Amino acid sequence: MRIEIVMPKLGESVMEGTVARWLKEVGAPVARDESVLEISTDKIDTDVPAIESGILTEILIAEGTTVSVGETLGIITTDGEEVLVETDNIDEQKPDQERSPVINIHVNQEDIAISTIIPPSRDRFYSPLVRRIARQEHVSHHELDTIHGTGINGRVTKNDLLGYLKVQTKESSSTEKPLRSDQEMNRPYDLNVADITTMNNVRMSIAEHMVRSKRISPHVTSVSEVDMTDLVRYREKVKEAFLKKEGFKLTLTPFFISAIVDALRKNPIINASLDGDNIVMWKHVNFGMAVGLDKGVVVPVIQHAEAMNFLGLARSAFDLATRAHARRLSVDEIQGGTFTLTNPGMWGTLFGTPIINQPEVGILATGAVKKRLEVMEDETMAIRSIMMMSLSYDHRLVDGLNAARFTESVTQNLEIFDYDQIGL
Amino acid sequence: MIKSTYLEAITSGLREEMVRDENVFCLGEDIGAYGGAFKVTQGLLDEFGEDRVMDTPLAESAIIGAAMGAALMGMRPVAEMQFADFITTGFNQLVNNAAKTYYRWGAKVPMVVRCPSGLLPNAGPFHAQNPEAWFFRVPGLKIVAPSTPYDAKGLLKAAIRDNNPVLYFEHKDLYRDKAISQELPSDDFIVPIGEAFIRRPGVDITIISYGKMVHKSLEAAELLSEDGIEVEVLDLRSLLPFDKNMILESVKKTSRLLIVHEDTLTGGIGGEMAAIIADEAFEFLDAPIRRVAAIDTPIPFSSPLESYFLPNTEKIVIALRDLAAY
Repeated sequence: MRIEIVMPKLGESVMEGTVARWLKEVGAPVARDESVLEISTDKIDTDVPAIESGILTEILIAEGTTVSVGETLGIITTDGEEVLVETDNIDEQKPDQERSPVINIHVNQEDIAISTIIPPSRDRFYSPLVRRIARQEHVSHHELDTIHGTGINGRVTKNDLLGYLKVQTKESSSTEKPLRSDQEMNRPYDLNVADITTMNNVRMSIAEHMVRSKRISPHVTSVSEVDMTDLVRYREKVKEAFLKKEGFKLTLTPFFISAIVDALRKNPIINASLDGDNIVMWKHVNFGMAVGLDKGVVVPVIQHAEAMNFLGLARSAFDLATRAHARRLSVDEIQGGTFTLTNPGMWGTLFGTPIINQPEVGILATGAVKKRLEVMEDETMAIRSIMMMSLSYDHRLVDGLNAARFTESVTQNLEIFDYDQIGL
Repeated sequence: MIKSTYLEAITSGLREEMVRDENVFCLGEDIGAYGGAFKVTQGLLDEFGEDRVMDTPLAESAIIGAAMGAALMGMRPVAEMQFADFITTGFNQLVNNAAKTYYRWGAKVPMVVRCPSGLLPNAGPFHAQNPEAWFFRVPGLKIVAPSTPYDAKGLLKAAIRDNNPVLYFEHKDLYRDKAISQELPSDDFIVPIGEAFIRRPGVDITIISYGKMVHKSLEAAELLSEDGIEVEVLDLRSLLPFDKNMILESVKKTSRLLIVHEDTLTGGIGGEMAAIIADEAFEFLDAPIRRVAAIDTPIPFSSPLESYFLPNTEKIVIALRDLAAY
């Protein structure tokens, strides 16, 4: 049997990947789960394993070539079949060059005078009709790329697109503006253009996601102040010892995560999602932490964060952030989050109004910690380290009361931190 | 009521027009006492006499030239080519004289040239051609190609009444095809030139065809229907002028187009249809425009080569399935 090795979908935002290196040659036997090739995407570099044991009989995509998710990269022929090794088919093109389409047309040209127009497919071919419908229905090219195609070579047919639109219409019974990030701007006549570039896939995906999230969830953002004085002092006191012991710097991030995870356990409605008419309460806290990269934000997820102690969270956060910068995260590590923390305070921002990372229902942004003159309970004045913290929540599911209880809990956890758990 | 064959419908159309208008007359090779090579004019000599059913020498240039002269003098001649293939010797009379006279001098040329065309088994390269495309690009001519007895009669009567030179392509293999014979209305009817007809409505793929290939297309559509693919079969009927609106409407509905003709592929009428769709309905296409036609060779004599050469139901089905899967 011929098994296709396809470009895997490495997370919601990744629409294409590059074949970095073939680890097997044509004709080589491969065992199930054995790595066959390495691929590289905007966010992650990873191996692609064989889904069945057999012989790698065809390499269709050459190293250095970038193709869409779902495209066939090579063929494994499983045992018991006549194995015919073909090397002629290998796409010999150099990196960054356009790949010529490998299209087999099963028409008996000798028997019949049929003229065939072969589509000039680069990544994915869209017929004039599909493109017209997409334009009329405000489906962006990027969104088109996500539609499953039933035509030849996975082409999206008219019916595929109409079916997709039907489902979309059903899903969003609202009459709000259509989702699109490719809306043309109304450009004032006196603006001089310095440069125009097309968004990369990550950017487009983020753009789509942001527009979609704002459309799906009615956002409310609540801002609270947290007195971080004790926590900042504590960190100053132990940071040398921590660095020595753990080998990385103790930042505020693990304190935030620890405080939020505890608050989520006490307020499970924030650790939930909406699925149609159903409220889905998540069993675990899979904690997403936004990490800013040059190409865009990536949100690695600490799985089952509720089961970790402070040190475990700190190590996990450091490890994920480090590997995010090195683009060495695995697919599993950027999926399945239930709540997200973003930390614009790192760059001095006082507070933000973050957009929810769907399908979560809350995202918390921590602002900059500033020394301020504060009037204390006993009406004395003191210099305190104050941080603003904002929670955006999906008002469909989360009421103001839920949100306030949650942020109150986070605030308490940070202001009166249980330092014993750190074990220093 | 008695069913008419395609051939009987043509004869009946001729007779009715000759009765209706004394200026209508026929001329051609062996069309009188012999009744024509295919017996289309059988009986007309006895009914109308040799002034109106004229045997001519074996010279198509003379037949067409004489017909044109008569037309200029107010007659309505119907010239028969014994085989459409032979029309080439009258090419100049048609293309440079008949087609341009009204434009150049304002004189009407109401003449019909009947062209028995298409493949009969083992007829070889000189007696089986479909030469409509030779004239398709000539402004000033009209071309019709009926596929049914009703259209054969209605289009012939419309052609005779038309004030322009009309080439009337009648498919020889349909002449005596009982499967397509029809009861025809007893009253005087015509089929207007320039109007296509949807032989079978469908939503998934449009076939544009004419002549005998309409029936092959209908057979193929029937087979595809078993798979749930509904093919619309559009019978052009008139090739020049053709019914652009109906073609565009159909393609806009189905988004997929197959053009089928018995004429050879290159330079065939299908190419022009494809160009118009690509030009005016580009954004309605969900698949490439495909054509099924005879291959680009002279028509072979031997039976195996003949079936290799000709479009048929099976080839149309292959092309339709291919389009449906696209």
